[in-house]
Amino acid sequence: MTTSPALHGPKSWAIQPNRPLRLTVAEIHDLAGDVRRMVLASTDGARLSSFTPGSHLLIRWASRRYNAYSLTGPLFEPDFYVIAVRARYDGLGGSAYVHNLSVGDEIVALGPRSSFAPVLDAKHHVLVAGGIGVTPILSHARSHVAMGRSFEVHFGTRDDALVGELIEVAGDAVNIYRTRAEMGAAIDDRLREQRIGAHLYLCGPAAMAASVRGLAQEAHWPAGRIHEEVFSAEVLDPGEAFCVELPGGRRIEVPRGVSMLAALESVGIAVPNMCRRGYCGECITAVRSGELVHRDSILRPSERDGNDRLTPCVSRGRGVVQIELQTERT
Amino acid sequence: MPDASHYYVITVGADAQVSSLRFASTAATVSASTFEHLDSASISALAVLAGDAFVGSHFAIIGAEADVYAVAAILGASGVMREEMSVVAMDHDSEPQQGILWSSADSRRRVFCAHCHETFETTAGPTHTVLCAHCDNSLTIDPYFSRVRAAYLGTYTP
Repeated sequence: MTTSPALHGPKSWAIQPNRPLRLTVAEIHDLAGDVRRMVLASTDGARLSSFTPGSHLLIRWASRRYNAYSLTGPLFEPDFYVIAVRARYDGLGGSAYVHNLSVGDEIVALGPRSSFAPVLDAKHHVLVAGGIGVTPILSHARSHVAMGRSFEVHFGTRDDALVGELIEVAGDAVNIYRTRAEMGAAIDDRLREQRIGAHLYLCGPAAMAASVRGLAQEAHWPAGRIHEEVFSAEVLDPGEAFCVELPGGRRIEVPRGVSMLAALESVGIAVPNMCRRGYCGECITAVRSGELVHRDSILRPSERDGNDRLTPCVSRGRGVVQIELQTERT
Repeated sequence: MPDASHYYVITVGADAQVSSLRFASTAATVSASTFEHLDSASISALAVLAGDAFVGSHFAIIGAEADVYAVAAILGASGVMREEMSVVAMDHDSEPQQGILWSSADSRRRVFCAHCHETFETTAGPTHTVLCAHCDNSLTIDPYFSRVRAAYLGTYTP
């Protein structure tokens, strides 16, 4: 039997988001506020794919553990990928892994994946960033400048990490704020002055995002004009203990402070997962019955209303939740 | 109507102007409202109105089906989202289907000709056969309705 050689091996230009990427640390720049900017080159010389503004790379920092970092560098046929990571001393270990890397080290990554794309027919883009949440905003700004789209940036930060790079990319469109009050007042004014067709993009700590979202809602911005990137560093409430019942009737306790995903893994049940923070959707699990407490950022309201699936990495239940052990991907 | 910082009440045709009075009572509770009364021929002027509007505005559109969806399409092209519009078609006779009240078979209707790509107005219902006002080909009016074109699809029927 003969087969066509064309069917074997990946074509160099094919975009294969689920194939692990081998990347080598080419440059490291330590910036203010414990932020490390890292330039990553393809280890084997394979072409790096272009990406949508707001895309992230999933960087493997332990076996089957990935953290998502927004890509901040050039988007179109890039020669390298750039990420910027703030050290978190209370995190799970992803940022510490990145901060321990040296030039020449090899890493494994998945992506780029898009989860925070701009609305391309918007008449104007209002970009709002807080702290390290500026990373996806940088790629939005880069794309808007390249394509000649109308935009403005509002960046609240206590240190100078990425301020220079943002100004280099977006120039006069950038507004920098050093206090929350100053930023809130300026954004409140700008939101009330936007013509129909403007869209708002938010990325930053939960309190800042909630405050800006609140201002937009007070100014009667409809939900469809407000876009938020999940800022993964927030620590979730430990929640209450509940019980998971498997198809055969076996019950597994999920204690307070332990995720349902971790509880299943602790008894040897593997659920496909990726971000473990409720935004990639990899671990979505079918539910037969039970009261669900959704805490993810991926399921749409209509999907939650069905009460037939949940994201076990962050979401919980009350009492007994019966699940199917088939997972579905979104 | 949803909350808004400014209401635009757009009426097309005399019947619609009377009906807009109940929207006026809602609109009067906010500080600013704009009332625009149009005839079918002046709908295209709305792009200017939409261009001047601020985010936070809500548009109520009242009139015959052929006109209200034409208005909605022009506002949509100007950047107004569906959730920022309340569309009221006055010449319907059916229950809402997928949130839309369809007009009766003997209403005025906009038809997009799949043969010559022009849009024209006719008085006929879906499944009826009409002649295209531009290329004179025989078209069957398909129940498919394009919100972007604000027109039913007319397919060539030899």
